Amino acid sequence: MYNYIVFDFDDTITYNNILDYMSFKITCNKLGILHPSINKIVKLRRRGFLAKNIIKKIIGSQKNEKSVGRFLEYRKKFLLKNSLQYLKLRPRCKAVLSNLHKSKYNLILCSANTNAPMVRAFLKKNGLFELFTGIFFIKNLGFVLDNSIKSNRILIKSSILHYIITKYQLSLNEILYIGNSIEDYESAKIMKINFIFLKTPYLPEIKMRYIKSISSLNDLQRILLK
Amino acid sequence: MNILITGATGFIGSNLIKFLRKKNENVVGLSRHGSHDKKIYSLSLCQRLALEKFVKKHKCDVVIHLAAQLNEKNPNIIFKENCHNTKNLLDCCIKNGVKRFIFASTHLVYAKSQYLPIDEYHKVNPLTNYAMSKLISENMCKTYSTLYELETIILRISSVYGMGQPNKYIIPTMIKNYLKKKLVVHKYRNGYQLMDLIHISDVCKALELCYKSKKLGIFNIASGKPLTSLDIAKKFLKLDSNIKIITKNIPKETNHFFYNIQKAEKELKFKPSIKISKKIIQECFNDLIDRKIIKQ
Repeated sequence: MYNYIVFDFDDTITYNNILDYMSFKITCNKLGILHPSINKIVKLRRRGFLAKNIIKKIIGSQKNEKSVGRFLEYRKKFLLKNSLQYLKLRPRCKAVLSNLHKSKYNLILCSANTNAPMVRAFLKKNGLFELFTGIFFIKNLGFVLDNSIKSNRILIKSSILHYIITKYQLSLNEILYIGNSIEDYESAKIMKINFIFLKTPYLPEIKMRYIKSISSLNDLQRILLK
Repeated sequence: MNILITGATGFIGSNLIKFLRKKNENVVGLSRHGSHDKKIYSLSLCQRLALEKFVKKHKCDVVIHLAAQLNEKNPNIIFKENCHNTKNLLDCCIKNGVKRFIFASTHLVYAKSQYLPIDEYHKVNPLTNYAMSKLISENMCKTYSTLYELETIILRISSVYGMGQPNKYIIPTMIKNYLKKKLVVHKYRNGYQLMDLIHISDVCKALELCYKSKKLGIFNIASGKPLTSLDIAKKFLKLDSNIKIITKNIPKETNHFFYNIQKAEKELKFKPSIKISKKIIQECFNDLIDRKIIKQ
């Protein structure tokens, strides 16, 4: 039924928790702020906190006057330089993607990540680059929006999905989108395509009866290759 | 070829008449305000019989319908002027054997963007009376095209700027702020608004291509290159680097406008050529001085 499987990048085929923790640790150290523990970050992330909300909470509790803006700027620089080093592949990712590829599924990667060279380098480093029929970033569409805002994230994702559908001239029932956030679900809903929610241990879950959710990529393989 | 332009004294209409005259086209215009120009006649589109006589007398081959009422305060006027008058004009075209009807619609028929760039297949859901009246008129054009085989082209034109623009729009407003040495840019909760501004001469070229081409349907007419108000403000800095850019935070979300013009590029061979530059801003600046809207 499905010919094209579209994967989100961050936290769908990767685990970003170590990178996330390191970004807080190193940036906070640089600014002289006591950095939050990995457990605290996970706890807040699971409650849907964005980086700026987490740092606001930390700065508030320490009565530190260092600006959130400066933190975010340093963190952005850190992510730009060090993402490749700390980003981890999701368990069984390579095996599952290889099996799907062998079974003639067209795999597409869609990412709102603005660091396209890093994403490509990560895929090459992990031997995944060749498995994808297409890799699409927001810069393919010729505009830039602030990705840290929920409504913009939905717009960015639905724009990339629309671009993919138009480029490959796909009918809506032959495309399946695998994402890990409510924004991914919202954008799939706008584009009227099928969606599977892939749970990530350290991120909020979507608990809606009509959203199909899976815990691991193995589950996805089981669904698609049964 | 005899071309009739409605809304001939408006921003797009007046520029289009100049543009087509340079190309030696036989152009007549209609305007509710009247004009000193001998070829622009004062006639309201609601005067059906007079309108019919006019179209017959001038043996119009092509009608470019630009006339519209923008007064959001009075929905009755908007719907009467925009929908009813479009119907009158369409009827006159059918009766008098007009070959082609070009309707200038608006990008606002799309309302909230679901994806970017917005193409012609994007969901329409107008949020203003003006946009709704344009959508109704679009549908009338489509119906007349099917029922009476009138060749109709609908252009969903993005925000237009250039010489002769009314002074409430972004470029004239920025020029006025520029004179005060303070450029105010709005930052919404979801960032700076993306805008797709198109120069008036590119719009005129698109309208020319519409009657020269054999294609029909709906086309987005925009620059295809989005800019934010901050990007535009930075272009003003090239005129004078001492200008201050002040960011005003607006505590609500905005809609982003960025249009896919591939269909117009492919079928009409439309290619926007003018970008907002120091030269274009200077041109708009001089125009505002000439129209005595600002003092030098």
